[in-house]
Amino acid sequence: MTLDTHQPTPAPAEDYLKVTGFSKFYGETCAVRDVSLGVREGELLALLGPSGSGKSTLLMAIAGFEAPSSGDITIAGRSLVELPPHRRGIGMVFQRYALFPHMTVAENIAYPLRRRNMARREIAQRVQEALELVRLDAFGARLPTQLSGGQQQRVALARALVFQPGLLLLDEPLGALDRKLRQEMQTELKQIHQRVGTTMILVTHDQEEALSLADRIAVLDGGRIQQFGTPAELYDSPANAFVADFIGESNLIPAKRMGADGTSVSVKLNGTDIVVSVPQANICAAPSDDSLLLGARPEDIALSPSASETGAVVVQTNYLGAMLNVLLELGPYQIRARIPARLGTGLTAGQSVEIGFTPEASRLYTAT
Amino acid sequence: METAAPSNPRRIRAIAPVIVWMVLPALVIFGAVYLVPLAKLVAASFFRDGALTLSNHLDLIGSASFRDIVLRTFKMAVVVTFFTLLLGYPAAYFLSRLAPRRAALLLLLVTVPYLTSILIRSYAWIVLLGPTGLINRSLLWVGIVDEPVRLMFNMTGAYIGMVQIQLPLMIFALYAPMQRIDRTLLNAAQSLGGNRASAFFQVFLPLSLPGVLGGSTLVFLSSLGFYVTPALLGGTGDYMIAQAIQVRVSNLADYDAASAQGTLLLLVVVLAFVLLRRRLTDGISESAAPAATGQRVGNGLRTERMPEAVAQRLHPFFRALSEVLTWLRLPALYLAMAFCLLYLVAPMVVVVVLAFSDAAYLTFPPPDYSLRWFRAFFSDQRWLSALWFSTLCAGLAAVLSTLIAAPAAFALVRRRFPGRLTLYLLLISPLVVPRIIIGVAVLFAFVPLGISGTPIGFILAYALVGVPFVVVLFVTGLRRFDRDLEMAAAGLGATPARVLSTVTLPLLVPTIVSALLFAFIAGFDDVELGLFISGPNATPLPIRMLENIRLEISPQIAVVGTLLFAALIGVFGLHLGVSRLRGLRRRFAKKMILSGTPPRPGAERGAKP
Ligand SMILES: Nc1ncnc2c1ncn2[C@@H]1O[C@H](COP(=O)(O)OP(=O)(O)OP(=O)(O)O)[C@@H](O)[C@H]1O
Ligand SMILES: [Mg+2]
Repeated sequence: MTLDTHQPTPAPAEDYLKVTGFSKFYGETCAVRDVSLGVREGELLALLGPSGSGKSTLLMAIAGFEAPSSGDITIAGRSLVELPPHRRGIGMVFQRYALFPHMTVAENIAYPLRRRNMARREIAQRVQEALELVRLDAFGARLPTQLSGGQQQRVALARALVFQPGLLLLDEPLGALDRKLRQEMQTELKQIHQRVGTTMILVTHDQEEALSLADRIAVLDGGRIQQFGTPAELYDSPANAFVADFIGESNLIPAKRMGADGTSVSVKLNGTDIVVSVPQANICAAPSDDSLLLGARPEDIALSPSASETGAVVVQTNYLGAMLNVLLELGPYQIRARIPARLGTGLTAGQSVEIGFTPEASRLYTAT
Repeated sequence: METAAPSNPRRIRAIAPVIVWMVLPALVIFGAVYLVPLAKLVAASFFRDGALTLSNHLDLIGSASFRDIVLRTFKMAVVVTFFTLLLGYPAAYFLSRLAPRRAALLLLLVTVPYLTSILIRSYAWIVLLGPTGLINRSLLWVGIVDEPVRLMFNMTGAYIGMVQIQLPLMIFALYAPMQRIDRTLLNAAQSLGGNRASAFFQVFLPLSLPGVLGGSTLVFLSSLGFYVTPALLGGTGDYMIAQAIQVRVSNLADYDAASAQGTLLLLVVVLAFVLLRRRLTDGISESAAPAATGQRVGNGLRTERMPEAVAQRLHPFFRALSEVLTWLRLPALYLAMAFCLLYLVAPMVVVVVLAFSDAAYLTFPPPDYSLRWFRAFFSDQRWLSALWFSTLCAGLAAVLSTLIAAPAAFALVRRRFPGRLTLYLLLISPLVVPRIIIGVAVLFAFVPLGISGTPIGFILAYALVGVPFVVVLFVTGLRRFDRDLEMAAAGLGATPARVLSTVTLPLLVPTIVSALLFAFIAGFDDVELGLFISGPNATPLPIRMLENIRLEISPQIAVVGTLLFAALIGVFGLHLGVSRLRGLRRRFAKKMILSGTPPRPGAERGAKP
């Protein structure tokens, strides 16, 4: 992969779970291709990607429900591949909860403890603790159908944590909840993670959720890891155009390489006269690539009034309180900018403005 | 688990034997008492006096009387199919328009006759159709006729009885697909300018055709092999193929001719079965769901052409006609539904009333009421031992067929292996292969083993005809099963055996119970197999009843019918009670969630079914 330079390479000793060279084929189709990643003990890792990117496939392989076509998965240095799911000791929370409908909440939570032949008294105590952890102490005797969605979600979490697994997998755990409940549960999940300190892998296609919850994020697309890093790394220095657009918002404008000196590369935006000089550190494309994409976040674009007819034209402004969203037309492109509201008081639709791309905040990607 | 995907050779080797063990028991029993004997039957038809020959078949085809029999059988099957469709379509349409809860109640009235022994229903028709029966008396009383009409012991009687017996099957086959038809299409058609009748003919009717085809095939095929009703209600000369075969084997011991006739009938049924296999394997083919929705989309698009189509096609005359139909629609529907229910339920009522007759002979309505026929039943050792024999054999057979068919159904639904669809068709085929032929085959298989006329023989034969029900019910149940639950259990530390015992099986209890029930009824109500393999020490209840009906038509059979009926109602009541209890619990729970107070733990546990 060409992206290795952007991946932090943690010391191997630190990794609790390690996936190396993992691929999964379904017949001819490839769901996941040559994925390697490591999760440190106590870390909350998010697998983020659009639908069909292979997140569930990777998770199912770690849990033991799918055998890898190639590659290895180890926990604390021990390979899991030969172990059946029930001997891996990995907790899992399913998107649709998968609570046993014929058992009460307490029986659901006791299930993994019973499978481990724990003493009755101990089971009762652990179940009680788990219920308290998810603030459902009074609900032990209910059946899962008698709970609301958020409550069922918490039971699923309690059940997956009660046997103190070394690793907890969560497949879109909040996907079935409405927006408000989702945010509440995110907070709660984060608190629980801090309290129990279990290593967790969270699958999601919601970038906000990943950014706010995860210690590190692996962005997947088309079965490959696009970038692996902390939320700040992903947001501030996306490794490619896909990540730039998927995490937060980016303007991606086709550009041509004009020239380079030792510290920067200058490009001209196609169809305009605008030339931007991008520092070497912000270049995510091979030197041989001439067709590039200039990436700039809306908040990194500066606007100033202009008299010339060659600049950009304001199409629409959208007042957000402190900030102002401005949609512009620059030649054939639509550009989104976000400026402090007080700087944009005079802007109206149809007005010509000069666009400024902050060089330090602009990045160059290979055009796809 | 889908881990069986052929991506990992190591896994495949580990899993292959599991599949073998899952399907082997079913295959062994099917091979031994079904496939091999059927093959022998077909082979035997090519031999005469030990020499390979086609003369059995040629003689048959050349024989005028056999041609008559074949023609009569086909005509009967066509007529019965036509009338069941004529009556069943409006009834199913009516039911499909009701809210599911109300439809369930009426469907129960359709189901109970369906589950009542064909023998008892035919007996009820004897009571109703006889010269002094209820129907003739009503006709005389109203003055439509001057003397009793001959309704029985001719084709009329056979038709009336058979249509009643096949009607539930047709209604079920039509109801399910009709219920899935998107009602908004009808509204759309109307909003685009068609009246209700034209909306029905342009939209609903075409969409319901797959159900019509399926139901008609099912009714036609099973009518071809009908034995009991034509034998009891038809005329003495009006033989159908099934009767012809039975007489050849049991009375004339003419096995060559019997196997040739059986082979020809089998050929027709197997051909139809193979031609319609796509329709029949819907249940387990993966493309089933998308295909169905695709179809709906395809047909839904057609409604866009509606205004044009309506304008062009509806000639003024048809427009007037469809206005009239729109008017008559509701009264006609209600009438059709009422007639169907009366037709289905009347024989049941007659049987129950008759059971309490005080008369020494059969007369309806009874002159006086008493329990004398119940006393007669419970003091007659022959009846009691026949009842015990049937219950025992059908019970053990139900367990056996569930034990062999359930694992096979697991394999069919959850694994991909070559020959999967063939296996499915094989396992459900006893549903359509005429019972008489299965009877002959089973007889051929049992005689050399010395188990004809023994309980073992009956258990094996009953298990064979129970398997299709178990397979169909388990395939449906397993397809609806949420696999996440099993994964969750495995992830929480349950071994595969533990997953099965703590999660899969407990959640499949309703499926298991209905599989046992249907498999039990399949054996318990059987007449045809019993005709061939019963013996002096092995007389099941239906054979005992058949003898009784043939010797002296007395209210005795009505007592048996009423007792079976009571058992059936009891089972239904139990089922209803359990689900009612669940419904109450759910409502209770909802209230709790809304008010936010936790329910008392004691009350919770107590109500658990
Ligand atoms: N059993 C299977 N057989 C064939 N292809 C499969 C199977 N399971 C998954 N795939 C394919 O593998 C790819 C990755 O699927 P996966 O379920 O891992 O995606 P995902 O990232 O979890 O998506 P989503 O967000 O929609 O859940 C998809 O293209 C999917 O079609
Ligand atoms: Mg997924």
